[in-house]
Amino acid sequence: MNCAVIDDEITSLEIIGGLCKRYEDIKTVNLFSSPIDCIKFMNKTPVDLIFLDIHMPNFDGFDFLETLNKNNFKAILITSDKNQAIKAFKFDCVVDYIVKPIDLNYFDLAVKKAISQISNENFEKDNNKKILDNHIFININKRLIKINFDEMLVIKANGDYVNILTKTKTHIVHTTLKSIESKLTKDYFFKCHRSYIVNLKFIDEIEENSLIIKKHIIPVGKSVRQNLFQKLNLL
Amino acid sequence: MESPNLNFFQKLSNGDHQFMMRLTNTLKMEFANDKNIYLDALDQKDFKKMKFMVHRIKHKVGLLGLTKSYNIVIEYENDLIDKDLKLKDKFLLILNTMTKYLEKLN
Repeated sequence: MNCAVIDDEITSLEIIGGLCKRYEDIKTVNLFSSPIDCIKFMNKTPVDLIFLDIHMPNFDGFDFLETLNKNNFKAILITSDKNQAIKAFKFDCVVDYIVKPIDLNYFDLAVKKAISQISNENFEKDNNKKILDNHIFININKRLIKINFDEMLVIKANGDYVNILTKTKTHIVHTTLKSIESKLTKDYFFKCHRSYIVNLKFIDEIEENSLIIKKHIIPVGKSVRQNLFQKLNLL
Repeated sequence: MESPNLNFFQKLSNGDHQFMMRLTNTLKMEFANDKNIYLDALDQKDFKKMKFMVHRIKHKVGLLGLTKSYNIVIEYENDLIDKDLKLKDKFLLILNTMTKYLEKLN
């Protein structure tokens, strides 16, 4: 993860920057003596974790948080002022509040807490993306119909159309095999012939030049046969 | 008065001599600068600037392990909100103690 340290005291920047290097999860540490410089940096480069001082001239730590409140980062506030914690925790992104001089054990706990929260949120985002990646909407008679990938058995080119064979019915869609192939996840679908894409999960048998999925006999091109075997769990 | 020390920096640098040197040099340079700005603000009775500089120096007092002095500085920082200078001389004594200590460091 990328991290930034914002403090108008160079000594603090050195201390916090040095401490950050102890964490494997923190890949880069960017030091800023002005919050404005950090905002300019963040316009180009995403930052996951920010160590932020509160009392700085002209534009303080709270101004910074208010400006970037909707941004996707976590913040650990590090300040010599022990009286601002309640205000600090009103910002959703604030993970912890550390009073200077830094207690090294407390710093360690705060950083681990932030890393854990960032990892969990990234995991959730990936999961949400996977949920969106498990189906396709097809246009049939001006209606968009959802088909889950795990219902699709075979996709067959049919002139200007494509036949999508599912467990229960066949959908005929005005599109190309190439276009639909680009929307499918390569982990489960395989183009076994210039006119066929199959769902690997449902292959029942493979013969020399064909395979069988739920009684449908599908041709297998010679040139892709070895690639197909690599995708399967063969003994 | 209590004596300054580099215990915090030693713990922080964990045997990394270069890091320790960099921290000490940065502290020396920045403290001298903060102190001068504070003294100028004191001359000009610029209480807002004084408070800001006392706040910055407070951290450095803590970094040098001056725990009792740290509490005096907290009090002085609060007093400055009301333009109260009763702890001015105590604060000056803390500044001088820190200056002498930092000057001796290589």
